[in-house]
Amino acid sequence: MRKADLAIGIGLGALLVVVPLTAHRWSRWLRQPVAAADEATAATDADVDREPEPTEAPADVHRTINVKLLFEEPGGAGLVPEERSVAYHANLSRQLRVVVDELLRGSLAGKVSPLAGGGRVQEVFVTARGVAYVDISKEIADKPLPGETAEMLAVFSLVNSITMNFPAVKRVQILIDGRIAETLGGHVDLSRPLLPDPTLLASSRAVPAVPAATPAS
Amino acid sequence: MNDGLALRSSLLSLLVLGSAGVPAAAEPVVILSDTHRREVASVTRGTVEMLPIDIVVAGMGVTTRTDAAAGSVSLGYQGRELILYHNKSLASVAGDLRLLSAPSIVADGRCLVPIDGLPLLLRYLLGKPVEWRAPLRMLLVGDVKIPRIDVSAFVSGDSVRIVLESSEKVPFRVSQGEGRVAVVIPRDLVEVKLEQERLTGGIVELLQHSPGKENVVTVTLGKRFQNLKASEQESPPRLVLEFFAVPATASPTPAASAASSGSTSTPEGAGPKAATPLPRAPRIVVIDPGHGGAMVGAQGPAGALEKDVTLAIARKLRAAIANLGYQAFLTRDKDEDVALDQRTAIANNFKADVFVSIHANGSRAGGAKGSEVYFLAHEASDSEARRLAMTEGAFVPPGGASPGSDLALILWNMAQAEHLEESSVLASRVHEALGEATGAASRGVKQAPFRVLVGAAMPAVLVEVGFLSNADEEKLLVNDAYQGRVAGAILRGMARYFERHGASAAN
Repeated sequence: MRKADLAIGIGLGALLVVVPLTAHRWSRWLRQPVAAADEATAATDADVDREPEPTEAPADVHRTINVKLLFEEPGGAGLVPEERSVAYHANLSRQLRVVVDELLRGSLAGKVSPLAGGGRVQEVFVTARGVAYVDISKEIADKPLPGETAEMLAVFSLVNSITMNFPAVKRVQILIDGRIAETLGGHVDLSRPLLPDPTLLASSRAVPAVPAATPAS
Repeated sequence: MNDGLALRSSLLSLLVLGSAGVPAAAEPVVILSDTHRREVASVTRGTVEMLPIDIVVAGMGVTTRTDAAAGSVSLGYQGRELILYHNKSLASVAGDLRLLSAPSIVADGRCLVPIDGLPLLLRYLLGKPVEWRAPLRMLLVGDVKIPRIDVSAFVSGDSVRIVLESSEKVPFRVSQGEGRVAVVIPRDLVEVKLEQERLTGGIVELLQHSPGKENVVTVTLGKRFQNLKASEQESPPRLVLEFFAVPATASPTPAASAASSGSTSTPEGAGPKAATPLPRAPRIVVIDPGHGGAMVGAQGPAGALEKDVTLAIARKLRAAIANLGYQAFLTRDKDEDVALDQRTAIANNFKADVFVSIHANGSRAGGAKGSEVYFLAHEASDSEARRLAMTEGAFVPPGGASPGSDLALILWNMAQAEHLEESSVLASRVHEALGEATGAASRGVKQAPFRVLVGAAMPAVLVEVGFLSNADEEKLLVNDAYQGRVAGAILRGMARYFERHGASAAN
C-alpha cells in the first residue's frame, strides 16, 4: 500500500520535473488550435518516456513569426496594432519575453509607446492554467504617466498584446522588479492577473462608448 | 508513532538550524491541528520570518523528497504535490505557480518558507483549511475548534445593548475604567467578530477588540453614558451589557462619529422631535479625493494638479451632502497621500452606503476630453478566477494588505463583487447627472479593475470628472463654479440612486 503510494508520488514528481524541462519540445502545441490538444498530451507522455534527460533547445535563429503589438493611437482613439516580425521560440515563456521586449522597444511607426523606455523584461513565466507573469525592472514605475487613461493604455497594451497573439494565455500579471505591485499610477490593480480589455482597442470604439462593456462586433 | 517522528524531526531541525548559525526568532510558532500541538522555531532572514515546512507538516503523513540537483523539495500528500525551489519566490502547486513574499531556502534537507505563504501552500497540499494567526503566532491546520464570539450592538434612544454571543461557554470578566468598559475573555484562542465599531447616539462611541494571551473587547463610553448593567445568559452562552444614558433633557446630538469629518450633520428642518429615535440611520457617503501628497496624479498644461482638483470637488460634495441630511466623510481632507486600500477601508469602517472616488483624467493625447464613470471590472466573473478565489479567498495577510505588501497577490478581497449590480446603477445615475449639469463630452459608463474599488463593501464608483491634460477642460476644472456644478451633479446622481434603492440600502 505504502509502496504503491510512494511509486505514485515519485511518478508524479518525475512528471512535474520532466514536463517543464521538456516544455520546449511540445509547448508549441499550446499555441495551436484546440484540435491539437490531444496530440499534445500524447506527445508529452512520449517525451517523458523516451527522454528524461533535459536538453537545451537549439536556438531557432532563422525562424521568425509575425506578431501584432499594441500601441497608442496618437489622437487618443485607443490601442492600435502594429505588425512586427520577431524571433521564434518554441518555449512559450521565451517567446513572450521576446514579444514584450519588442513592445518595450516602442513603435517603429510613430505611434505612442506607453511602456517604451520604462524598464526591461527580467523574466516571464507561463503557468499551465494560462497565466503569464511578466516581470519588468523597476524603471517601469518611474516612467511618468499622465493620468488614468494613460495608465489603462499602458497596462493593457501589454496584457492585450500577449493574449491577442497567444490565445493559450488567458490572463497576465505584471510584476515589478520581481515583486507584486499595487498599481503603476494609482488606478489599475496589478496585484492579480488581469484579463484583457477589448474595449481599449481603437477598433472597438468606432461606435461611441456604450454603457457597460458590450462586446465589440 | 507519528508524534515520535515529529519530535525527532523537530530535534533534528534544531540541530541543523543551530549548526547553520541562523538566529531563531524570539518566540516559537505553535502549529495547532486537530491532533497535534507542536512548537516550531522560526528563522528570520532579513525581515522575513520563515518556518521549515517539512517540520511543520511532520507527523501529518506528508512525504518529502529533495532533488539536490534541481535545488527543489517536493512534498506529496494523497496524490497532491507541492514543489519549492531554492532561492525562488515561487512554488509549483498543481502545475500552477504561486508567488511567495520571499524566496524559499532549500538547504541541508530543510526547506524554509515565509510564514505568510504557508497557509496558501498547505491548504492546497493537505486539502483542509490552514490559517496563520499572526497575533497569536499560531498556524491552525484543519478544523481546529476555536470559540467564536459575535459582538453585536443595538442602539435605541436612551440605551445601548451590546451582546457577546459565544459558540461555546467561555468565561467573561467585566471591568469598568475611566471612560471605558473592558470585557476580558481569558483565553488566547478565541475568534471575536465585531459587527460594527462605531456607534451613534453618544452613549457608546466605539467597540474595539484586542487579541493576545487574553482577548479583550473594549467599549469606549460616550458623553451621554450614565450606568451599566451586565448579565450572563445561557443557551446560547452570552454576555449582555446594557449601557444607559443620562435622562434625556437636552436634545440628542447625532453624529457621534463625525470625528474625521469637518461637517457635523445637522439635518435640514431638524427632522423628528427629540424624544423619538431616528426612524432610520442617515445615509453615509464616503468621498475619496483621488491622489494626494507626493502622488500628484494628472497634471494640466497650465499646471493644475489632479490631487488639488479632486480635493476641492470632494469638499464641495461633502458640503452639499450635509445639506441633504446625509453624513459625508472624506478619505483625506488635506494634501496627503493615503494608501489605496486605506481609502477603501475607511469606507468599510464607516459602513458607508456608497463610496465615490473622485479623479481627473490625463492622457498623452491632448485632445482627449470628457467625463466618465467607472465601476469595478471584476475578473471573478471569469469562472477560472472564481475558482481561484474560492481556494484563496479565506487568506488575509496579517495586518491586512499594507501598501507595497508582497502578499497582495494572495489577498483576494471579494467585497465589491457582491455590489457590482448596484454599483453599475449608481454609475449610470451619476453619469447621467454629470452630463446634464456640465454638458461636457461623455465617455460613458465603463468598467475597469481599479484597485481603490476592489475592497469596497458597498456600491462604489470612480468618477473621472474630465481631462486635466486637455487645456480647455483644465480651465473648467480649476474653476470654482464648475467644481460646484460637478459636485452638485454627483450628488443628484447619488440621490436618484438612493430613491430607487432606498429600501434595500437603508438597513
